[in-house]
Amino acid sequence: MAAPTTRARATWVTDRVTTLPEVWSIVALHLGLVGAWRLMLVCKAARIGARDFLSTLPGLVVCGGFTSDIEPVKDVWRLDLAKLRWEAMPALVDVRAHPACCAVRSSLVIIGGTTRPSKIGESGSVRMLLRGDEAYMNQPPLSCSFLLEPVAIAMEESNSAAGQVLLLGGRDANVEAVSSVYLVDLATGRVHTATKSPP
Amino acid sequence: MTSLASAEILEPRARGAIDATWRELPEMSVARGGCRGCVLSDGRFAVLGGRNVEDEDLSSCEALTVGNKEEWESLPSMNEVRSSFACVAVAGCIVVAGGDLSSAEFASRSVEVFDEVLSRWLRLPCDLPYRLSDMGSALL
Repeated sequence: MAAPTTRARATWVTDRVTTLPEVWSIVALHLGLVGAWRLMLVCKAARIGARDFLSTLPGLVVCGGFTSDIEPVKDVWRLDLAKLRWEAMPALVDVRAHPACCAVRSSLVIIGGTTRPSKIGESGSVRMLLRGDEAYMNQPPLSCSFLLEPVAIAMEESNSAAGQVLLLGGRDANVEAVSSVYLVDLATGRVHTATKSPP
Repeated sequence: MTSLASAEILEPRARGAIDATWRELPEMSVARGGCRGCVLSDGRFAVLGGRNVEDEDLSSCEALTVGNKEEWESLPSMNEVRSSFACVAVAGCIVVAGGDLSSAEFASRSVEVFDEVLSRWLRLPCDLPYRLSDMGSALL
């Protein structure tokens, strides 16, 4: 059989390559979230490849909060970015809004919160949901009084057994803004004053 | 409560060091209480929404380039005003959900995504199960 011409060979190769979901998965990786969703409209292989990429992405988790009736809730939801669907995660033991929340070593960490608007948190409780678990583990409570609405940032490079979280700012018992920065050891609940931001 | 326009950056003295110093950054274009922030894929720090000194919720967004020439530049505004909402940055996009509204409905159900390539906000067809604000949020 005669060898195909260069153009025929190129067409043959293109046809073969575009049927490979793996190729579309790489394309999706470079296009990002919205580009990957759009790829799902191109063809079947693109849809499979884009979905493979999207399924590797973490989701947006929201925990607690106030409803429009200003009622605190204990629900935890996760937005699956491949399916664009909210899925229920195990609910918190108690209702809370304004919790400090972050992911540490693939676990969801929720610190403190309040049950009433404009009130300080009742406790410095620390809850942790390990990947695949159905119930939250109670970690040692904070060794300091809890602040309302601090920002929580996971410290990925710590040597702590359960990881560490940086808590920045927030409001104190008088609902006054504070400039404190605490480093929380999740294994012990011990809080170190890391530094203070300028007044 | 007073909303602030000031910004600061915590810079560790060495990689992984706890001791660090705060440095003041240029002020944002507007005071924003209850705003949310995230790091874009190009390293800029984006600040979204919040509540101004008149206690009005905002839809405006801006981003700071940290480095040699530090200045805030405006980003396209979200489709809805929001403060105290959920926010994460993932795969070249920012995803926001819920939050306070300047209306009688108090809280939002809507979800939006900002595509960094298109520089556009898009409304997603997956509202929260109910109106929600002041929630914790994480990427997991």
